Amino acid sequence: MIKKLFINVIRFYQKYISPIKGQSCRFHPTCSEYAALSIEKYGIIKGTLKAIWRILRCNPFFKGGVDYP
Amino acid sequence: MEQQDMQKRLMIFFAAAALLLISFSLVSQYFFKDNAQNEKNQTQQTEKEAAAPIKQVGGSYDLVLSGERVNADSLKDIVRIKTKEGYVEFSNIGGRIVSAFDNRYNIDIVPEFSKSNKIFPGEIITTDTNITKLLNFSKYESKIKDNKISFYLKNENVEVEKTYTINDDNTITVDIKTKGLENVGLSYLTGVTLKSEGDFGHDGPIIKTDREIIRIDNDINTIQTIRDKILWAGQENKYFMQILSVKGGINTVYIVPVAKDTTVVLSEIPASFEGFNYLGPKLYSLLGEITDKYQKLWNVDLDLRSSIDFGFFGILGKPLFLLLHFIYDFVHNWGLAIIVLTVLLRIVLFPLNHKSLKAMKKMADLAPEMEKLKKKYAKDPQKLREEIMKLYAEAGANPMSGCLPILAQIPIFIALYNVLMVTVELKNAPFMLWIKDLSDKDPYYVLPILMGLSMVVQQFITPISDKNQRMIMYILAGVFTFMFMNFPSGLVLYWLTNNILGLIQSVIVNKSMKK
Repeated sequence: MIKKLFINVIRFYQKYISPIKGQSCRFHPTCSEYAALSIEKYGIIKGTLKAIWRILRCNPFFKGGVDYP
Repeated sequence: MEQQDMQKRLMIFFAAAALLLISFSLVSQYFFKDNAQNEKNQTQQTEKEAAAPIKQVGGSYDLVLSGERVNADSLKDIVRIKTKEGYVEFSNIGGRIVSAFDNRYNIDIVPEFSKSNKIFPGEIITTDTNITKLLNFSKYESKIKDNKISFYLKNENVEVEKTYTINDDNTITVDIKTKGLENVGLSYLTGVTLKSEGDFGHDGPIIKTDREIIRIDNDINTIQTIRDKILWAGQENKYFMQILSVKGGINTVYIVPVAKDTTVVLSEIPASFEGFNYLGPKLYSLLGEITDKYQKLWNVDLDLRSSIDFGFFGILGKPLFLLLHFIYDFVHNWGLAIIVLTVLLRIVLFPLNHKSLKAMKKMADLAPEMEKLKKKYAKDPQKLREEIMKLYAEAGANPMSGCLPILAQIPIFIALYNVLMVTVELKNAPFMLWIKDLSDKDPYYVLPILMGLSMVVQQFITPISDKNQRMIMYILAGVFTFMFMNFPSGLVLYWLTNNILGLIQSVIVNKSMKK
């Protein structure tokens, strides 16, 4: 299933790529975790859009904090 | 169980990384070999092949690619004129441009193909083969005055006067007057395929009309004719071009294949005309100056800058290049410009502004509560993170820069790579000490190794509990170092500067947390 594939890609990123850049996310859960959860919950299209919106908010001009999908 | 799983993953990761590296080196080797072979083929073919004459109403243009051409000029009877950045050489045989050397890049814009086949920019090719031979294979009388050189040819029927003026901006003003050639078609040999400067760019004919830019590939088999309102035409590669622009424009350009992946551009001209040749690098600011000059002189927008092709990632590359160029105008060193740009990007993208410094002070006040949380949730890092984030949000202070600034690095990285690969400004652009060319790899691998070290240090600073994860990070630092070894040093410089700035930022954050 494509949904599973997307989530696996995110998990791969979390394991092997994310460590390179160190911790940077202003939220809990992190943006990648949020993306995985929201794709699980809303499906690929809506879930991805929500994840993109989350990443866009993850910058010094937004407060951050706890934010679940 | 967990441990085993981890080891398996590590193995897979190693295998994948090794496979990638090996296949990359194999592929690149294959390509280099391919190139070398191609060049060989080319020279072999050029000796045999002759151009097919252009079939056209009212006559055809024959380049006379034969022994006669090669024997006509031994390139001994030559006049050299110094330019601002090198020299131009003219042959008294035919009054042609046989060399255009640029000291900055240590390159002759007139290619090897021209020299071995004795076919040069500045030739006048006619629809009458005998006249073509006369105009290009006979000795002209020449006269030099300052930066102006005139060539005369006169026999009972034909009279030709070519005057070239070498200008400070690297252009060569061309003024051609003929008598007795009214009944034949005339064309000016504008360019011969330049030596390729590698991938990432177009090699071949380039034609600018009043509406668009037309690029034609070198691997054509038949003569291509372009009829339009043509402002200038010629040959280009990624970094350099050989063009002719005629005052008032011309209507027809012919592109003649002469050998494998080699073409000649002919611009059809009236019996007398005024124009200019440009044989030189595609420097953004210089091409802008020349365009402005002719905007005033001829009242036409030549838009020479459109010859600079930023390629597929141009949408990212061009604005970054303009920004870099702007900084360069102040610092006069491309390496320094990259560093300044990196710092500027950090300031924009990362919370090092007044507001976040304030936030950091608040962080110091939060320290006791943080300690409490750390003790309380020592066994549940997930929950601990959640609580800490809650605390930050409540206090309005967050030391993390966020994911967006990190992600924004990727397009900037690609854009910088693009700029380093396609702009002539960064070719041979020295930085300092041992870095002589920012678009080439670091010859002693100092920058990549420093970059790897900066990554390791970064891991030391960020507290992570998982041993395996730390191991992965060290491996990644190694893989990155290897990957960056063959990257352009300008790119590594950017990444290294960025890492160091990140380190400084982490240290500041850590300190404010401990207070």
